[in-house]
Amino acid sequence: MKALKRLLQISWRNVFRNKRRSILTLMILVLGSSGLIVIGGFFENIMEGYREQFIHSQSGHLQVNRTGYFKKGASAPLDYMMPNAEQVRREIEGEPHVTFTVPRLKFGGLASTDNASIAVLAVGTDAVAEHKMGLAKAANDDNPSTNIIAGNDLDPKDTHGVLLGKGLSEALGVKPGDHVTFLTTRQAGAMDGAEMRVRGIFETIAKDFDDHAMKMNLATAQQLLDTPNQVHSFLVLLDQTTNTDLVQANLKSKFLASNSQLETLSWEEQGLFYRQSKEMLMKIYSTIQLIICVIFVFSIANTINMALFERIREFGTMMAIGNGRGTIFMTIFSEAGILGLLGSALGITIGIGLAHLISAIGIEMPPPPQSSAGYYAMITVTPKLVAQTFGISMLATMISSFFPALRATRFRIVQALGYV
Amino acid sequence: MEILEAMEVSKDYTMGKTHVQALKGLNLTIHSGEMVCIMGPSGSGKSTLLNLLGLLDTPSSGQILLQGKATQNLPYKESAQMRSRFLGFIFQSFNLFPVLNAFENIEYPLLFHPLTRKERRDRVWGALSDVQLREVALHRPDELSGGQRQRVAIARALVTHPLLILADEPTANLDSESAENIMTVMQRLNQSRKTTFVFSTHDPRVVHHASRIVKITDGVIQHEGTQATVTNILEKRLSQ
Ligand SMILES: Nc1ncnc2c1ncn2[C@@H]1O[C@H](COP(=O)(O)OP(=O)(O)OP(=O)(O)O)[C@@H](O)[C@H]1O
Ligand SMILES: [Mg+2]
Repeated sequence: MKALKRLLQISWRNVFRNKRRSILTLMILVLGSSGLIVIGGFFENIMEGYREQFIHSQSGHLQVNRTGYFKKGASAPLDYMMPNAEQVRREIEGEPHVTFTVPRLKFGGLASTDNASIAVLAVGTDAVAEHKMGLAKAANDDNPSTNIIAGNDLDPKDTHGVLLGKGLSEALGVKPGDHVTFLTTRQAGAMDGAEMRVRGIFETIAKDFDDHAMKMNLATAQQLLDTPNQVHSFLVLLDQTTNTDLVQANLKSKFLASNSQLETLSWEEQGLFYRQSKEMLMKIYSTIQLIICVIFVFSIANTINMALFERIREFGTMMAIGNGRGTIFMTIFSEAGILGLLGSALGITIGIGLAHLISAIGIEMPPPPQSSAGYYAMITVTPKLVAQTFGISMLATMISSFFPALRATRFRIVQALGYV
Repeated sequence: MEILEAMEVSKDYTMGKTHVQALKGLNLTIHSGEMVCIMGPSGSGKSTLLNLLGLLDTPSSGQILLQGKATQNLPYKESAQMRSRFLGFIFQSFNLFPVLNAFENIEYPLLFHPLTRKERRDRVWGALSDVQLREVALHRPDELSGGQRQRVAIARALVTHPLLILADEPTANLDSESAENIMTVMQRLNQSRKTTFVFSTHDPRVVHHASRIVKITDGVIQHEGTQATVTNILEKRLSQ
């Protein structure tokens, strides 16, 4: 114990023996780990933005459907109606953390103008709840998740007023006030059509959705399909995104207990777009992590190797005095460990400080590929990010000092003592 | 009492194609309380012999017995333990740990002995007194003179109460005044504490501190004897 304490003390002092070299290594560690924090936090912030916008424009935190709807509902929407919709809604809204629900009835159809006919995804929804959901903004974006870029949002009183996604409105060549003919298939293959009026045009983060979606009042949709009081899904909105897993588990067990034949999907399970974006960013970030880790390994190894060669005679003396090989190993290993610990602690602290500073000022960003408005980027530092960054520095430290330390234990005493 | 014995010890070095036989079947016994001086010209094998006696290296043939126990073929760990328990070392270039002060340098080998903190401190202060360095206890090596550094090294070798202290040319890096001082300190410890010393030198001025002189040339003992006999032989040589 006393020996270990003293050895650590010796290592500590040795770290500062060659100040210039150690400070250089520390600077590399500080730059690298604070960079990892800032870049990682920036990506985190982008993903957080995507996530919140996706949740509040399309998926809700959770989506409750008839079991099987998510996978197979698109081809046979009429087979997955939720007949006891009102009861399900009350059950969901009775859960803690649930703030409100948005009903959805989704079905395919054909929208035509004089110029074009296009297959659309009709979305019947509660105008008030949908509006409330769409208003939510991601922390880093001034635009609401569902941005009405022309005209007005749905109005329950305007039964045949519909909202078109931006891409769809462009494809049909319509603007608010124009008329669109909508055709769909009812039960037993009967066709039904209606003359709709474009009330407004909306834009979300998901271009795919905006290219196909036509929103209308739920009552109108139910009437078109001849399915009064029935819906496909409830989008469930929560007080906080972090409660998603908890509420999902609660709802699942509740539905299982009452044998309700309902499925509960989280935003993440629904969000292919989110998952793909995240995957791409994660790939970029892991590449950056790898590069920085390699830089760490080389700079620490360089420092440790130089220190090692300057002190071969010292190690020879330690061995002559009777120190075990383990002691020699630990001396070098702990020296690198101290460097790594100091560098990453300092780097992470500075990184967090920078993150706060940048978030306070905000970086003006150009519009993302599928969006029309620019926004201010911020840095979101998560505990996971801090742990990862710390882990990378320590891993680099261990890799870079293991072999020099091992080599030192292999010195022959007489040669080490004779080494000048 | 014999504490260390070299029996028919040889040491060969191979460097590329050249073979050097540094020691050639040498026999030597060290008794408790002795102060033995190994003398000889450069390249005669003094360092090689001291390294073998200190269990820092192993002979090519022959045996080194420490307290009657054979030491060849010991694994690293055991020979390290024997060095730590029974042997002390003084080096030509002091070999103090530069980041530790005098007190900490002397304390260092005790960290691997089962002692309480108090016992350890008492021993270190005792050793500092023995080499008359109490007042510079908190100085680091680079704040000490060469002579002071070597006295710290003596204290470090002494502090574990070893059976035997080995010193390879302890005065080679010192001016003659410091060299004399170092030898006086060693001799005093030898006489008052009965600490056994084996040191090597090629400086005739420090030889008179030894109780026995072993003169080696080309890896074999040429003369061996007390102060007087060796001096006699040497003088006869010179006068011839
Ligand atoms: N590691 C080694 N490899 C090869 N030859 C060596 C090695 N060490 C010593 N020798 C050779 O062994 C012989 C004895 O060397 P040693 O160092 O023991 O002499 P020494 O008496 O200590 O000399 P000096 O007074 O110069 O220190 C010399 O010829 C030397 O060149
Ligand atoms: Mg020598």
